Amino acid sequence: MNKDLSKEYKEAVMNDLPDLWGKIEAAIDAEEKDNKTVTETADIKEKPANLTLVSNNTDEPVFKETEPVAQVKKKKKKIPAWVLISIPSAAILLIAVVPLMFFGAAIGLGKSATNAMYDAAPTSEAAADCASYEEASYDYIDAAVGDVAEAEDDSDTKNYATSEFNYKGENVNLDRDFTLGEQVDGNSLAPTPGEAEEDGATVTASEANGNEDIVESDHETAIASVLLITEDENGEKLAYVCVHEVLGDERLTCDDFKGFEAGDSFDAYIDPKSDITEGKKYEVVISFHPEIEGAYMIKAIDEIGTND
Amino acid sequence: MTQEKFADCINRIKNKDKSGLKDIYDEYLGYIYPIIYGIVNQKENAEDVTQDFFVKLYSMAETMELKDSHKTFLATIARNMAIDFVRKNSRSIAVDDFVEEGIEPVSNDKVEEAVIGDMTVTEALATLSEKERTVVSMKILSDMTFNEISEALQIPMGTVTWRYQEAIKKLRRLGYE
Repeated sequence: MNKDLSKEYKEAVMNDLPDLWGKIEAAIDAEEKDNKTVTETADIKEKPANLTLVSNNTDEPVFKETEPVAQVKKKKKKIPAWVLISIPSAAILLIAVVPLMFFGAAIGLGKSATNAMYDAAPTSEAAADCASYEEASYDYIDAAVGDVAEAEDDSDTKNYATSEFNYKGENVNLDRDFTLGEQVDGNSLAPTPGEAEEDGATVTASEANGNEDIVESDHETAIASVLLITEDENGEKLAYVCVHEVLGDERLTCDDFKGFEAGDSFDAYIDPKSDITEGKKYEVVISFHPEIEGAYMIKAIDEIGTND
Repeated sequence: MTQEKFADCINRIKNKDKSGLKDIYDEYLGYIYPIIYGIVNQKENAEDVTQDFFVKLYSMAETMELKDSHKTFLATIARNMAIDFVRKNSRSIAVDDFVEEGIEPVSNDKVEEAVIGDMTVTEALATLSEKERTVVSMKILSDMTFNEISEALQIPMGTVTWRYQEAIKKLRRLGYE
């Protein structure tokens, strides 16, 4: 015979109701007493610091004004002259000289500041060459970009183009004139379509300048079990997933998505195009969607078997 | 208790008359305590939180403005206080009070061996893991939704539903529906 869990559980707790009134009353009394004490303490007038009690014969206390406390303290303290001089000197040294030393070290020892500035500033001739090169390169890259018909994200391509320009700008021979479509040392300046889009990954300009191919990725492939399928408040299907093994070795630098590890379990929305059944094991792509409050989405690539 | 009677109790509390609180206590202890117990899931702690609840009600009466049902209002305060307690003491809460009462938790392997028909609800609940029992108590005693439990325990909703289903499966084997 089946028993009603909800009914019996509620009854069991109700039968065991504690009698707390005594404790509650005591706690309220203690609280009220505390409040009263705090109020009384706040009402007591503080005796001024520079008054001394001289007679207590009458109802009201009689105070006599003594020397102000500040003056007494002033008499006791006498700062030596060397302290007055040495402290500001040390401060000036710290503020002015130390940063100057660091600055000197940064621009190179043995070089004067003027020389360094001279080295850093381009000549007017070089600047003109730079300008002509810049114009030609932009035109060239714009033309190349037009060829990349399949590039999905314009911003990615532009970043790439800018980084390419910066990179070449460091190595270019400024005495040489460039014309539209010309190649530098036989290498085309234009990005190839394959380079423009790297399977959802982005190479930023600053990273490219630093010669670091750090790839930002917002997805990961893994072997995972689907333990439970539920729905959220909007009726969207959610899968409770447990990761068995992470596949691939992408370097993940995306701020919010750090990837997964074996043993992780989490809720993820099911890709509408993906056919996923509860209790089965899949090779899945887990993608990160910060636009839906840090949620994940899973898409099955291959069914591997059933859960153990 | 009607809304008018409750308002009268609150007015008496405002005048520092404890009889107002006593009436509320007598009427609603049986309603508030299971809600708190369901979340805290330990007898001594549930008693402490319930006591704090009535002391808080007494001290907040002066600024209280009743707009909706006072019963819902009381349940919300009790629930929030219990959740706060669980969050603050999540690491220090004892395994459970079933052990203290002298009933040893039955391991999963021994469930089948237990005399199913004679098991009380307390004994049946002792067969669950602490995490499963917390979810079941919150759902049954505190009438919380899975979403509310997920937010209160700060775990994914899938984990909550998974634990609840696992617990119900175990309890079903013991004859509880």
